[in-house]
Amino acid sequence: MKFAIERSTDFYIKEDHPFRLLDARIKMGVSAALLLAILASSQPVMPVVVIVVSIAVLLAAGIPARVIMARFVPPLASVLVLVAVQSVLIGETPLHTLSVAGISVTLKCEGVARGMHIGLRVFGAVSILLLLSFLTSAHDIFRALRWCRVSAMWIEIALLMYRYLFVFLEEASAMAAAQRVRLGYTGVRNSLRSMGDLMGAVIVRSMEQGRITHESMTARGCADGIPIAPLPPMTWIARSGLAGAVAGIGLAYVLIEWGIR
Amino acid sequence: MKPSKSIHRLIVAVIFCTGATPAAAMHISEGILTAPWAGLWFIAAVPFLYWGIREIKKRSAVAPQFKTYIALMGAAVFIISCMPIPVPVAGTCSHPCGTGLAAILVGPAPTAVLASIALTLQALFLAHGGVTTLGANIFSMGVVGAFSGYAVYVVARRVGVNALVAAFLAGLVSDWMTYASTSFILSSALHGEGSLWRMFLTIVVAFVPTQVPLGILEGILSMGAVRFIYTRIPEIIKGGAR
Repeated sequence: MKFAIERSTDFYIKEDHPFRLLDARIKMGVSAALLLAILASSQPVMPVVVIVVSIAVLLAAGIPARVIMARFVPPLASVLVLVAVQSVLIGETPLHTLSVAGISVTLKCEGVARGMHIGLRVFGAVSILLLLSFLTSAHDIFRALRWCRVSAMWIEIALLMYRYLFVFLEEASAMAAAQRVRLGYTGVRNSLRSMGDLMGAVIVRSMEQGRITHESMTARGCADGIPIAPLPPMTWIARSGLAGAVAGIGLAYVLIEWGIR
Repeated sequence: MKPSKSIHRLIVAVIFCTGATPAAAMHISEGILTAPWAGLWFIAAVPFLYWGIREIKKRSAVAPQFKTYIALMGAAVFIISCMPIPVPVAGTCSHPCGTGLAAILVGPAPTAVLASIALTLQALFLAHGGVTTLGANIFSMGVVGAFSGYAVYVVARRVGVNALVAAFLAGLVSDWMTYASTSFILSSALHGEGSLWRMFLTIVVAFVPTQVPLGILEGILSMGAVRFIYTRIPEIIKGGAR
């Protein structure tokens, strides 16, 4: 059994890389501005530029190309389905009639154009997320979210979840391997039974670990919760940099949307 | 124009061709929803998150270990949602939602909070789902999935159904309802000038080859998990839904 995750994106970049050292609030602010610009774009230029620049920055930061491509696979499946749905259901102008096993289906111009635009928007937005997540550690993102006044309880649970995610993943993989060598996955009935047991075992294990973790936290004086180190106030340079970047994105959006027609 | 069989067949064929990662269909990808729709689903999800956080705070005040317990339970459910399940009809692997099982164990409102965290982690660090579609994904998986699964479990237990059968129904219903609501969210945002109902029907039909067997499998696995937990920690199941 191979789990759908092995490691998260923040694993790949070195801790002292300049991109990683950049204030997470700046990276999140720029990402939010870019996401908004892409969602609001009616032209393909903006998403295409963002995709190209994002992939170039990721490659320059030393992220392996196959890892970047692998992260584009899940949205690709959704995009293909959406393009197909849009192409046959939206519009009036026939573009091409397909005949598959005696069934004829007409693709419409408007639908294909709309589907392609949505597809570009998805890849553009995903590439921004990849840029943010590959270049920022989970803890920095959560601290920045706390700075944005996201609930402390939510952040605390998220930090604990993230901390134990890979611990349980390793344990579940070991349990699944043990089940496999004891022929737990021979036949449908056996497989379902083994998987159900595995799910139950991971839950039971989480309960045990929950008790142990709570006792450890109490012993360390953190019974009320994990202390989240607050981020220092943003410097004048950081604030100016963020404002400049957001203004630049806004200007680029205006030029692309109203300038290039 | 009514949706013809041929259109549905073509879309189903595309699903088969792209079915190597149908788990992605569970989450609406980043960039699919336009800003107004993304904002609308955030607004719809926020009250449930507020309710969930308030309930966790309340229960943590009574039992301080609850917060740690629920966080680790969330991590476990996240791992469960990454377990590959072979889908016999599509011939590919997919993944369970896990929200039905989580709702049985911790209640629906805290499950919405756990789903919101899991979806945030998946969006940020695995590129599954997205940040702008987070509200929509929380609503379909964490709200509709968790509350429907929990409601079915509670009703089934009240009418005297065995806990294992009730867990099966919770897993099945939460999975199917998650996909139905995802289909509705997608069709409401993407129908354009066309009919909402027609788009909804088409997307539902597109999901059917993977989601019908996947829902049944999720039900069976939820039942197996509850059976295992019952043999180890019976009090968590014996006390009803919690």
